[in-house]
Formats: sequence, C-alpha cells, structure tokens
Amino acid sequence: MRILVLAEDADRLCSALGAGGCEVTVKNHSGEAEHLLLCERFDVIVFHPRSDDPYFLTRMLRDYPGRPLVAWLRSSSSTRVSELLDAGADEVLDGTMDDRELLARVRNAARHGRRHASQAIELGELKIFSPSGKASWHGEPLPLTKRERGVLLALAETVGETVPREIIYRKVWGYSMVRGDRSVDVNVKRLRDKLTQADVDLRIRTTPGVGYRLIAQAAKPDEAPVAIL
Amino acid sequence: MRFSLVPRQNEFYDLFTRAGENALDAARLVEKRFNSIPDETVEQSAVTDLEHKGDDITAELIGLLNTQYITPIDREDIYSLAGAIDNVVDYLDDASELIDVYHIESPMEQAIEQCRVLVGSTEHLANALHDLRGLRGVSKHLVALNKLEDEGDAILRDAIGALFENDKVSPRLIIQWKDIFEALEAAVDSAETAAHLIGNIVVKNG
Repeated sequence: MRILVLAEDADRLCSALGAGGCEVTVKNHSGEAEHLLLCERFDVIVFHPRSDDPYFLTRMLRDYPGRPLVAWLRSSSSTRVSELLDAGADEVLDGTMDDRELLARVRNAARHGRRHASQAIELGELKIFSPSGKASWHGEPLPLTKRERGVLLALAETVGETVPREIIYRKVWGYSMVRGDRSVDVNVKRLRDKLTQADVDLRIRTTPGVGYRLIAQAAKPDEAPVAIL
Repeated sequence: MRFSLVPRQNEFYDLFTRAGENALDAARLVEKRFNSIPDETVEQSAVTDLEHKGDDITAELIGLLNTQYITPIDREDIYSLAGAIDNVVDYLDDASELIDVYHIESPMEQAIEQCRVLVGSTEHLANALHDLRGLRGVSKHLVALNKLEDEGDAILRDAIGALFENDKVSPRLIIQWKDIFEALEAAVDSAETAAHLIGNIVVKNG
C-alpha cells in the first residue's frame, strides 16, 4: 500500500506505517505533495491540517474524488475531529493512538477508498466504471480510447456541472495544462462523435471559455440528471 | 558543363516563381496538417514530396546558373535566394515531421497561429518572386512579409512563455512543443531572409 504523508514531525506515524508494510512518502509542503500526486498514484493521503493552507482538503476532494484522505493531528479534540470528518476526511488520527491502531485505521480508510473507487457511475443506461473510465451503453462496451475514457469519467463524476478544461486535463493527463493546448477539446470532440454514433442519450455541452459538462439529451441545459453512485 | 552565350533569362524568373509557389503549397499543407491533428488528413509524405520538389527546383536553378554566362541578376544573389527559399520548405518539412516523431496527440493554438503567419509569409514571398521579373509591386509584399515575421516572433515568445508558465507541466510536452515552435519560426525567418535578398535585388536592379 502506497501512502503519501503531508506532515512535519510525523516520524512516529511514518515508522508505524512503515513497520506495517506500507510504502511511505513524506512531503512537508502541499505544493510538493500535489505535484507528486500528479505523477504518481497513492492509495491513501495522510495530511496534517494547517492553518496556512485551509483548502488543502477541499482541493483533494475536488481533484481526487474517491481517494482516502486521512487527517493527522498531534493532539485532538472532538470539535476538531468532527470538523474534519464533516469537511470530508475519511479518518482522523491523533498522536495518542498506538502504532497498531494507527495502522488499522489507515488500512480501513484504504479499504473504504477501494470500495468507493471501484463503483460504477450509472447515468440511465450508460455505465461508467471508476477508476478505469470503461463505459457501456445498454450493456455494450463503448469503444473509447484511454484519454476519452478519462475525459468521460471526469465529466461524469460531477454530472451536470461544468468541469474546467484545466481540471479535466490534470485528471486525465496528470499534469498542468499549457495555455493553448487543445488536447481536452480534441478528445471531447471525438467522445461526442462516439456517443452520438452509439445513440447514447447524453450530451457534452460546452461552457464557453471554461470547460464542458455532461447532461442528459432530453434535459434542459441547466437540469442535471441524477447520478447514482 | 558548357557555358551558354545565349541568355535564358526568363527561365530564372520562371524557376523562382515555381519555387515560391512550391513554398506556398508546402505552408498550406503544413497548416492543414497541424489543424487536423490527431487525424491524419494530410500525411507527412505529401509534405516531404513538396520538399523534394523544392530541392529539384533549387537544383535546376543552380544548374542553370552554372551554364549561363549572362544572368539577369547577380550570380551570388540568385544562389542565395534559391537557398533561402529552399530553407523555408526544409524547415516546414522539419516542423511537420516532428508531429510524427513526437507522436503529437493534439494541436496547440500557438502552432496554428504560426502556421497562419507562415501561409501569409509564403503567399507574399510567392507574389514577390512572381513580380521579380518586372521589379514592380515587389516592395509591398516585402513590407507585408516583414510585418508577418514580427508577428511570428511575438507568437513564438508567447508560445515558449506558455510552456514555462507553470512548473507542473509535462517535461515531455515542453521538449516536443519547444522544438516544433522553433522549427516553424525558423521557416518564417527563412522567408524573411528571402525577402531581404529580394529587397537587395530590387535596389541593385531597379
């Protein structure tokens, strides 16, 4: 199990996870951690909430939905723990827990994440499997390339909402998008053609200057179909 | 090889006209190719064919130059101009080839802008070469070409800047596109070099 730890003074936590057979990578700055996440896949992200970066958890939830997020506190209070769980953290660890408990809680978060990650998004008769993005329409697999699958999944995760091009690019290509790069547009065009060819009743609408959104064909542009996760 | 004492002046102008038209054809084809990425609407072999055609025209020009005792314009000017036009097509071919070499998946807006500038530049170059015979109306094309070259410089600066705006950009993408942007700019620069040489010819012979 690969774990990314974004925290200073987390030696005890790291040694507990390392002793439990986890491959641990430690970063002290959120910028470094986020860069690494673009290039490598981790099963669990452990982070120490910092007052100078209050939106780290929000960014992780937005950019890496389904990835287990575990908060690490040196000392905790029930107010702080409930705040973090309400904000979307999957688990909260604190310095009072012994090594076995720390490891068990991280493993539990990873299991939870795997269950979540392997679920399918169903939009009527269109089924999209996460995280591969493989899709089927009326049970027939859609012949999509790896990039097209990634774009479809990125749009389906927040169906009805506009997903900016930069976010789609980061999720599918794993890097920041260069201004002027048409990769997202090219793949959306091809995806549109394939969805039309297969008579899929979902359409990808353009939000000019921003990005794209997936909507049901019959729905008015502002009405989002319900995604069953 | 024999020198001919009977001047074949028109042939020089005809060959320069053909070389200009060939450079324009190549620029249009490369523009189409960049616009159609990732579909292979235009294959690289079509661009390479034009590059070979350009080489043949240059060889014909040099061959004619070597057999003529009297030339309509200075020998060294003919030689340099033929080389500069040939370079335009060579750089176009290089840039276009990099699409395949680097397995480019999607175009970049800046490269498409560079292609637009290239088509404009080669259009003016072709017209200037066509009008070289009478030396009339050449200057307006040279002025327009210089303006386009300035525009090309600005696009290149913006394009390279965009690659380095963010430190989380794929290094592979930076390498690929920096090479392509620079190859396209080299083609624009060669068209400008050709324009300068035509300008000198006009001054000397006008």
